[in-house]
Amino acid sequence: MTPFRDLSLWRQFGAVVLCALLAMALVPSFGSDFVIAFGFQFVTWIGLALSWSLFSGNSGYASFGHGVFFGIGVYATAAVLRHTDAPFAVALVVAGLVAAALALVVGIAVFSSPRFAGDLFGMITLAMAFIVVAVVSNLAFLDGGTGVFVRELAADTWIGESTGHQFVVGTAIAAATAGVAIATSTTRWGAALRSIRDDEAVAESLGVPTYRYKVLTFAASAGLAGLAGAPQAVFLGYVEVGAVFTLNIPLLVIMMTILGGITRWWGPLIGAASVVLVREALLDIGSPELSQIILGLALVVVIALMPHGISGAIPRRRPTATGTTTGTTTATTATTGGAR
Amino acid sequence: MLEVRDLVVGYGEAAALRGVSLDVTAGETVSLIGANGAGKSTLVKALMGMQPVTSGQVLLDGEDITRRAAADRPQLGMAIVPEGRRLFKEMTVHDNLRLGLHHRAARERADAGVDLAFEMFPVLKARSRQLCGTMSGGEQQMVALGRALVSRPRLLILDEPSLGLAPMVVDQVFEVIEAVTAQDVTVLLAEQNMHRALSLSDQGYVLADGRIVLTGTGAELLRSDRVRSAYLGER
Repeated sequence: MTPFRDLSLWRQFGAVVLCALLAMALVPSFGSDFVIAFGFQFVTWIGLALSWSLFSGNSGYASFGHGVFFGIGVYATAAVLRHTDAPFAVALVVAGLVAAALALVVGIAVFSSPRFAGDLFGMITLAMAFIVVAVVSNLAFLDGGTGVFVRELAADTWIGESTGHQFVVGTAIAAATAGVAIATSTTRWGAALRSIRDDEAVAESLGVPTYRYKVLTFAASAGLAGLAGAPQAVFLGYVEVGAVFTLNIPLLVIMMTILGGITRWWGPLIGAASVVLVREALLDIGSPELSQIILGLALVVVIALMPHGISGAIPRRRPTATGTTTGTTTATTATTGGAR
Repeated sequence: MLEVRDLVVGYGEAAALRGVSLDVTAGETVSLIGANGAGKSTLVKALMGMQPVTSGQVLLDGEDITRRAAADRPQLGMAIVPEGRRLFKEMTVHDNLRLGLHHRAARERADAGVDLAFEMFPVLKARSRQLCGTMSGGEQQMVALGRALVSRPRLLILDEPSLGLAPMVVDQVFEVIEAVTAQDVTVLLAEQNMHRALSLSDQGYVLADGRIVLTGTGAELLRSDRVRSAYLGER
């Protein structure tokens, strides 16, 4: 795979791993309970924003179902811990797989029919959200209307032992999601996804198998959201439908992505970090309504001033006259690309 | 190389193409001229599998490709420069060019990769990281040409490559088309700028109201008064 010979790709992977390891080493050991809990939510939102934009940001098909995939991850984890003796790691894998499987089915159904192309995709994901909430509320196996006490179920496990451990898992998942986002920023897969957003018909004519890319990436995006739901189940302690499946999640994630911008992989990361920090800062004013209004106005101002979001407003490195910065990577990709 | 047999797109009075037949011989440059709305773009899209065909056939080297998916075109050695360029505007020049090599068959044919485009248009090299939407029309047309040519197509289809460009840039675009025709690439050029198109074509077809109304060599059509009346609507 040619793009993986690209040094800047490895540098970015390295930077993410380094940051994640530093956070895992420092936050749980030195942070107060409040800082650790805040840190957990911080990394969870970063993971959610990055996984949403993996599909929706890149392909342009806005999904309102991201909260469902996250919630399914939460409930799958609760169910595994409640009904089996399996360790948390198993629950984590199940959470990712169940969310990915649901997206796979929805994706195949929606993208097979040209009638559902474009804006209707968003409507369908919204409909899916309502159906899933109804199903989860009524299945005693999952919830049945009473909620699930995960805290007791996870009490004797490593993950349930401390919020610090939940933070470590959450950070690892966010870092993995960032890794996928970095990969899409430079690989042929990522370029193909973005070509769908800009002009799907032309992408087809260039031989991009748009259907396959849409279905598989939607599933991957949902799977990563499901993974993020697993530690969330333990963190919440008590899981109930009203709190887990809120429409707030897709809306906030969309807002984070628009704010951060989608022309660079780290746009949604910056957007998520900004929104979480601003929301936290606005808690002091004591009025949730007022803080929502301020946040909304801030978004409008940012879009007006920076149409490509925060990340898009930062100038790109330009190659010099001799092409030293990007010329080399371009040449590498080109020559090996031709040799394949 | 390319044969179009009685192609119809649309139905009855509203049909965009009403039975078009034409031949493109390998190695030749063939232009398709006609006024706005004559059906040039519809024909080009039908050839690329981007437009459903009502009846008729498109044959490439004798093989029926009428209903093959658009995504198969790179494998067939076809590439298009679409009308209005239709670049991926939120993407970099480099990513646009690389998408010309997305198909495995295109990568296997391409010897120089995206560097081919940088050789043809050195100005693009320094801008490989720029988003295409922020470039001038002429630069965008270079990227569109590059995106089609990096795959080393056997048959290049250009849809209105000079539309909306400054005269100097039009000169440049036609220089590139001439350079391409000098190689053994077969070119089908749909163009309103009939003088420029016909003067570099071996063969020309004049399209009006969804039908071929006149055909001949480029030189013949350039001299013909009927071309003017059929196409420019001059009386």
